Amino acid sequence: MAFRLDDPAPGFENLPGVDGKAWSLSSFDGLKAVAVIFSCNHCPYVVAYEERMVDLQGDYAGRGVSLVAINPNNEATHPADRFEKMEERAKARGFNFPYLRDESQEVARAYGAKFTPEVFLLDGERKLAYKGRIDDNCYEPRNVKTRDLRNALDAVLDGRTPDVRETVAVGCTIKWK
Amino acid sequence: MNSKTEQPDARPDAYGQARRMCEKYVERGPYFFYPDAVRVENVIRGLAKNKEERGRFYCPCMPIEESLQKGGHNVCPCTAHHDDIARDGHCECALFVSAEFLERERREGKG
Repeated sequence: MAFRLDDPAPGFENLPGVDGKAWSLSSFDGLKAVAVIFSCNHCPYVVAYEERMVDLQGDYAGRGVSLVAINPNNEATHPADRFEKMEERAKARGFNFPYLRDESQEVARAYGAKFTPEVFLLDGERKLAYKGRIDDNCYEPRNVKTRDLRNALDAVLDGRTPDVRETVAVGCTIKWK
Repeated sequence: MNSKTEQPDARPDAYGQARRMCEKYVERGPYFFYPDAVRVENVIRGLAKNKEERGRFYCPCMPIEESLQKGGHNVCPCTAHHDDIARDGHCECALFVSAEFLERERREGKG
């Protein structure tokens, strides 16, 4: 069944994180918003957005928000997405948010993810408030016109429905098994 | 006014070449652009960036190190795109899509 706006989020259980812990959706209980971002190690779009993801976490963590990046890519065809490489990447790029492995790709399928990076912003009730891109300009952070994820986060934290609920993610296609 | 700040990051000629190349390819058929202008714009900017930096329209979704090792395989439109579109409805970077994919997206209110 498709995961649509305002639907309760599909749960996930015990996904391995690069921090050595097992993470579930319930691990974020109590937070006002969770930005689930399907991501990977090698996609040039993710690489372009990593610094912005770190900045987002830094800016919003104090307001009861967490990003969580989930890598669902098929490591058989894309060995750069192996867990060991995720650990290296997170350390090298200073990830300040959980980075989890979805080896079976079940979570990505449950969410209906298609691209990396692709955002599924969950509100305080863990319903889908916004899905899609982080912003509208992958290559030129200074020339971003719409800061889609930030706008949606601000709305959710204010108790409002985001003005823009859905955009098409800017990123590479997920590498399915 | 600094005209450079109004241009995409690649020089105007690389961006213009990338856009014209893609538009001509779509005009030729049988494929269409992915039905989201912002997404298409970002892919074209990625093509232009690779043209500017590496001399060819390497697919912006492939790590450039891999593309450089594969000769022209990943130069847009890439060698694999016909098979990818036949299987998935879109090419690797979802720049070009099939008519069937476009129709599906439209039925779902996305195109």
